[in-house]
Amino acid sequence: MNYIFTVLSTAAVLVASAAVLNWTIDPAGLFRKSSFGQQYANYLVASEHGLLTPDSFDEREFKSELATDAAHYDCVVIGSSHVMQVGSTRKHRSFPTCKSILNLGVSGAGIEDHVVLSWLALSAGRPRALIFSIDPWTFAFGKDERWKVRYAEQYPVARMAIEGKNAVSGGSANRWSSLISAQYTKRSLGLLLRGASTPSIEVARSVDEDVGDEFAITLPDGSLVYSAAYITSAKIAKIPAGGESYKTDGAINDGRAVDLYRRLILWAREHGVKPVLLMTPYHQNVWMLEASPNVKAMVPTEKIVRKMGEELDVPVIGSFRPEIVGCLPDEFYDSMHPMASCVARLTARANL
Amino acid sequence: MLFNSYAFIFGYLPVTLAGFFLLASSSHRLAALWLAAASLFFYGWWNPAFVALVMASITVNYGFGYAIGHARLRSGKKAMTVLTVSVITNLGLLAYFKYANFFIANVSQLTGAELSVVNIVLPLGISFFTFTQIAFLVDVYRGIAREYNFIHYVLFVTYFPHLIAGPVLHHKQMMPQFGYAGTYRVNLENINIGLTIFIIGLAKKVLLADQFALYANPVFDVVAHGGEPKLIEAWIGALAYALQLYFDFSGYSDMAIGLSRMFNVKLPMNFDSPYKAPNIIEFWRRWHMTLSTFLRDYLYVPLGGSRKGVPRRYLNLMITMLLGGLWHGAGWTFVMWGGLHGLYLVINHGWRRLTGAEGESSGWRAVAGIGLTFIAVVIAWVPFRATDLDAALHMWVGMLGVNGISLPMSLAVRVPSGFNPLVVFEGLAPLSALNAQEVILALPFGLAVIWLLPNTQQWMAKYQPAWEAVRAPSRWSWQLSRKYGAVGGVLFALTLLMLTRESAFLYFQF
Repeated sequence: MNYIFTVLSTAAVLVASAAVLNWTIDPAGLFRKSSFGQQYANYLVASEHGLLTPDSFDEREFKSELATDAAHYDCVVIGSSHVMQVGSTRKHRSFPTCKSILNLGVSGAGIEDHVVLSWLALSAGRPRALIFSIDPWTFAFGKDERWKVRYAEQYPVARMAIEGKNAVSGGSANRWSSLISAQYTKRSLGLLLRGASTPSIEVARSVDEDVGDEFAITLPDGSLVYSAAYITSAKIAKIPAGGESYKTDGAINDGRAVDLYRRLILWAREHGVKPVLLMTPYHQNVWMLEASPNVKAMVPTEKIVRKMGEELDVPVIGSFRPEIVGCLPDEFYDSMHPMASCVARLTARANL
Repeated sequence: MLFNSYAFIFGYLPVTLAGFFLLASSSHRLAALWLAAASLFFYGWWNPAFVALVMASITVNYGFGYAIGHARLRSGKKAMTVLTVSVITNLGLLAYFKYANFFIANVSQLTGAELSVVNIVLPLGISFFTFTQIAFLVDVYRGIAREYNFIHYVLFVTYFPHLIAGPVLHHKQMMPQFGYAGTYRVNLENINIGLTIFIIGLAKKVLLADQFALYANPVFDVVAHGGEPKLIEAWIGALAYALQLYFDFSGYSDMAIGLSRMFNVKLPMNFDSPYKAPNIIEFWRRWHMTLSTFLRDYLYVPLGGSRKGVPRRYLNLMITMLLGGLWHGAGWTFVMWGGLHGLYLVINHGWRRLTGAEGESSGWRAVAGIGLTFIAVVIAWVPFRATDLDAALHMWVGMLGVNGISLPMSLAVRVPSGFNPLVVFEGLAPLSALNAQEVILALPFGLAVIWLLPNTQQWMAKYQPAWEAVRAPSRWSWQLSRKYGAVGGVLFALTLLMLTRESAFLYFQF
């Protein structure tokens, strides 16, 4: 009896300790609702040069808060980290015909993020244009699960509004499993050791966006300036042929997702908003390996986007191909994240 | 349901275990029925529709077993006829689900006819439960097995620890245990031993196999898409896969043995440190042992084994290994893998015949033997993992160094430019962009675990963990003490924290 008791009690104590640590530190704010996201969003729009981006911070938390302010902007951008450099308050300004831009891009955005953030943005008011940035994985469900943590409840409502159908939700199991996840424990421990148990809101100073500062900065328009260390390391990092296959393995271009996206565009237009489709390029090295998952995903996705644009009479801006948009190899942070200068070039002639 | 899931560990296992022993206190028959029902529930978790298929297979084979048993008492010829029909029925079922599309695709390619592929979902574990039952039917025919208790037969086939990925069980190993009264009594020592073996297996899967998968998959993926790896990167991928597969499958087998031991039932060993084998013949006595035994007893020996002269023996070896390869999957890559091992075995037997070397070697000869065997096995794993023969060929070309070698960028300054066109300085894994420092630490660690540490059965030898007797190494022995309990607890906690990234076992696909 002693043996099994020792095994189980040791395991229970260790797992419980991890759970207590994760609950207490809660680096992504999964377990305790706080007004941090709202506060951050409020400070951000009022700031002159933006705010420091907290190290462990679920950007969906404040982007969903920012979305409710969309009516105050001329153009709103929805997309993944690929559009983090799209903005109107930056050195390399994008979409010059947009008087002001609100960037609602979130890391790894899947179609569920597009649906919820569009719905939040248009529920609160009406910007002039809604720019949908399409990634090679956008037309597939479940490509990123983080939406479940932040707006699991809103997604079915948003989807109902867009297509009038019920949708299955379920983010709580995912959230609670994080309580005893090694990955989340590592994050909690990291924060604990750094002595920053709760993120703080710190105002950023004016910096050269091509160089960056000690920490990443979220600009007042929601776009991002990476940290100096990241920008420096990106300059020397090698990009493998074909690139890293990020979300491009497995199912892509699901017909149901394409259909949902068409409805989303039509729904936006019904709300008196001008929909625009955008594609940001991948690095030249990615296109060197034509059989790579990335290229195999991008080619059909781009065809779908162009066809969708034609059929729905929606402008299509940009391309996954860097030579088409005129971005140079050194205008990328990595295989798939173009720099602001590249984004500015590809959106320069867009007349929205 | 996966063994490495919270649902299994905190839901299914305690409920099944408690239900079994609670019911056993009033009726052994009821307890066996409960375990059989729980096993079917476990199977149906993936796809409830296939429960009907496995039950149909069990019912038909039970009937065949009954018929063969009765027929052999009156006429050996009639018994042989029933056996033949039963084996053809089983292989037919397997052929339909597993090989129909492979057959159609090859016929289409050979004849140019445009035959459409059939939409068939492969039932989980079909290869395992089909082989288990064929072995039973042959044993009934040989007079070494007989089963008239339907519940026990259902339990023998569906018993959840082995149902999906083995071990392939023999009737004689299992049925006496289900009939033994002691099986139905709570035995705390067996629960302790079973839990420990389960935790070790879980740790192998979650902490090691899943980690090595992170190094193997990117290399094989980039090659599958036309990438041409250089020497070091190709070997990183191949070695990582060899380690992933071993820790994954032996981890699963440990978990199966441990789970079964909690129910007072010993399963046969499936792994005995195969990468320590000094030759390929010995490797096959240590890798997937229950399948090797099956192939030997029910294929190689009936083909004539070594009884019909040397050339026929080699032919029998090749046939056995080619079919063994095909058993793993309907694809030419598996046939290639089986063929390579057949060739290895023929060479090994030929070498023994030539040199007369039969005994165990020692010292540097043993080390060289282990090294050579391991390299041969790693080379053969390439088609086993590759998506097609082209991808396997690309990997082999890389492993031979034909694509050159890529070294760390930091070395470039020490070498005059252009000194050898086959040497570039783009990092160790330029195509897959793996973290070279991490891989350099991880691979030797994995190799040290398999070569320097005892295996699970040796750790637990004092408690005779498996059906076969295991000799305990003198210095390494797990004790059911508090100290070891704490170590087991730490290991268990680590695996539980890692379970949030669930991953299926590689052998589930077979």
